[in-house]
Amino acid sequence: MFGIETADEGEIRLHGRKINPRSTTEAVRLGLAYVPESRQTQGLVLTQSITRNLSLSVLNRLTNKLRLIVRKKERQLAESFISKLDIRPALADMQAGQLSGGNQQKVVIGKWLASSPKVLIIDEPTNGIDIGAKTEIHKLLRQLAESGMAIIMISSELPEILSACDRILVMRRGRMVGEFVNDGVTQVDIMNKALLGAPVSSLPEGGASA
Amino acid sequence: MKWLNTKEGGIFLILIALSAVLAVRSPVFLTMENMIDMLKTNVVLAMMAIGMTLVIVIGGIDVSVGAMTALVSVLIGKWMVAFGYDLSVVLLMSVAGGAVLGAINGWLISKIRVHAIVVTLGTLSIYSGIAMYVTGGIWINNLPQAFIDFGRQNLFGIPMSGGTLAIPIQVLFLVLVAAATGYMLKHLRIGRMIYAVGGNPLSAERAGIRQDRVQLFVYTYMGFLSGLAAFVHTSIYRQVDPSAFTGFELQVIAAVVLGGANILGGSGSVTGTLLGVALLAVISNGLTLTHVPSFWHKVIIGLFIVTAVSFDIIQRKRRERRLAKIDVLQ
Amino acid sequence: MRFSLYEKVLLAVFLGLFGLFALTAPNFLSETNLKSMMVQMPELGLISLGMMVVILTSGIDLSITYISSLSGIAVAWGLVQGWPVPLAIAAGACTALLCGLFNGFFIARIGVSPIVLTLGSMLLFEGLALRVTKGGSISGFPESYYVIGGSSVGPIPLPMLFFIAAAIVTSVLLNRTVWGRSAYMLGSNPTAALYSGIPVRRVLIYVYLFSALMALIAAVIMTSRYNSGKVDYGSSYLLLSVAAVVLGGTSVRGGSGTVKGTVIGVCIFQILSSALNLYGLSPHIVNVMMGGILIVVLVANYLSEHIKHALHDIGRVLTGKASASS
Repeated sequence: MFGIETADEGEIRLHGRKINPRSTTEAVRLGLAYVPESRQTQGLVLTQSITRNLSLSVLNRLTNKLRLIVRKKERQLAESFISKLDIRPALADMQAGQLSGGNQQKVVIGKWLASSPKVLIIDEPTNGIDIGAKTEIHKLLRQLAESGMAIIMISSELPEILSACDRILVMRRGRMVGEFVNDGVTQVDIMNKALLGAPVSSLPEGGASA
Repeated sequence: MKWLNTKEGGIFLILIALSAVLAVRSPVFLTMENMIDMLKTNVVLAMMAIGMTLVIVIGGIDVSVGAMTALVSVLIGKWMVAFGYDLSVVLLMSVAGGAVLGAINGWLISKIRVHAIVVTLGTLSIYSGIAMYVTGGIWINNLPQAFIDFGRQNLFGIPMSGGTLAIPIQVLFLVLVAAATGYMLKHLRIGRMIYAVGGNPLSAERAGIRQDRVQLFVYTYMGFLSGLAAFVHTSIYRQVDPSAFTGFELQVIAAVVLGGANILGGSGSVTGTLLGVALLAVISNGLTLTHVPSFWHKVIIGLFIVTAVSFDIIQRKRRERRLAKIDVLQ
Repeated sequence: MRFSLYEKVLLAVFLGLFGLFALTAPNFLSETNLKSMMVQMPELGLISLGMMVVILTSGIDLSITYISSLSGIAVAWGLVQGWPVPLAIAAGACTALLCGLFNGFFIARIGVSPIVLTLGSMLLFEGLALRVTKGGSISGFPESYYVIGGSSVGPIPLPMLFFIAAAIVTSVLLNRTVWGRSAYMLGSNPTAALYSGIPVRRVLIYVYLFSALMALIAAVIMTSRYNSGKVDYGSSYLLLSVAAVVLGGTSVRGGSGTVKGTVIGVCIFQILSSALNLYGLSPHIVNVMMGGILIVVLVANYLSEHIKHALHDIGRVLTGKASASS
């Protein structure tokens, strides 16, 4: 979906229109965002500052007429997200590698929020994060969903899925094996489908609607 | 049949194909004389490439090998001129000298944590500078006759229709080196450790393998083989030219890479490297025999390297995609 | 301009060496020597700038010196055909850009490792250059061409001005453009850069085009200075440029490095090479010393990191701030 690999089969529709991102750059342009599973190796450039990580996906929007990056704009962007997401310590020039797991994740999310995406794909959002930051992130995701952003969460933590998601798709080995609306579903139901469900041939209408 | 599917098998097929084309284009190619000549010219490259294989497998690189060989050959050249020839002494000096130079590389690389290419760039300047300074750039010519005779020796001497099948003694050295190194990589613990460090340094570290010790060993071994190569080279050419190995490291690296080793480390073999050397040898020989003007040689070899590594990478990427698919489709 | 601690030390080393040489090396401060240094340095400097940008992306361009000689030969050829100087230089530029595109294509699109690819392309470009010159040199340039290498603005030779301009432009490109920033991020963590939407392929291709362009400018200076085009002009700069770039603080692993550092590194190697020659030392000993100095610098760098960490830890313990988590 994000243009990292090309699709083998099937189609992707965004707001009804077919899309086929062939690169991550195109995906971002289409309004997609991806918070990867491993924030340290895939989501952040640990040796660079919080500011530079936050601006990484929107560098094109921070330039002036001469196509040069305007430091002030970058600074403002960084500071606004640091405060909005309550990133601690609130030091814009601190190396991303020195932050705690929860704060690192906030930086990655912040990077994507800066691009005002229509769809946010987030993979294992609270992996290795302490309880306090976990709740913060879940609250944030809920706020974003309510403001109209479509959020696709990939997770293997059943409690997290049940507490955060409106719809649940269960997949096994690349095929969809179950679908639930989160209305009284239990962990057992999900696990049943995960282990025993028969593959469904296609995704029902509705997809990931915003 | 299964072997042909491996990387080495593929390279072997290319080698056969090239040789076949060459045999057709030039009647001289398949003669005993030409074959032995090719062997002799490339023994040194092969020996050093074997050493370089280990270096590349652990994910490192050594661009000082040409300089190490030059310095050791200057060392033994001067020694022999001054003190005469004694096989065991000179041989020992060569490998010990080379090993010391290699150990310096290995020690620096493992201790100061700077990338191997930079360190060996520095030692390259130092070693070649010393070699050139000590000789003043002048060749050493008056080597003792006993040494020259040693170098001329041949094993076997079977007369055949195309000429006498006489394998130069230097080839014996190569065979021993290849066999010993191959055995070490496949069957000795150090071999496993080398592949482990190259494949995944972090896991290797966690498994208790001391990366710095492995590095020290590998670069020392490279130096050891460079020293031996110096001995062999001098015995073939009967003189010492301190600038003979300038730029040689690139050929050595090319041979290893053409032999299928991954420059990032983790894979490579003695067989593959030998095939890589053979490929380079056949191409060079072929270009000469078919009278291709010498300036085209570099162009063709350069293009060959680019094409070969491109195919390799494309294949690797395809293999990775296929693996990912299999995981999903089951 | 902000200088990092390392750069300040480097600058101090440069000034110290300069002072040392001014006092002890015969004729170091003479007009001939100063001029000669200011004319030689830009060649190494431009190649180093090109190399630095490539190394930033954790790559390397072994073919850069042969891109330089090949494009220089293209310029020379054009001049000998009677083309006007700008046209000949344009021919050189096209050659250089084609070479850069070649490198960029295989490294960025196909994904070949830079060290291996540029090993092959280095042979290729050298071979092509040999093919054109047949090993000899091309000479017979119009008078107007000598202006480039020979003239000066006041006391400063033109090549030096070219270099200063190139350094400034490179600095701006790296620090202020999206491309430059992308190059840094790419070098530190290519996966994260890709996953953030950075057009990695495009950035890399431009990187190799940039290094080819630097090679071209160096070639123009060299051919003008030597009044001819030959295959081995500049081939010794390969090792020196990597050394200068590393000395200047750029990490071979990519992701860090500055133009300032590289420039100071180049200056240090230049005055070293000039002074050692003036001392009458054999060029071979000069080589040994250059290699030795590079190693000494690397060791010193390592030790200083160690000392810094050790002091840091001591400081933590002393002030009681040593805690399990941070």
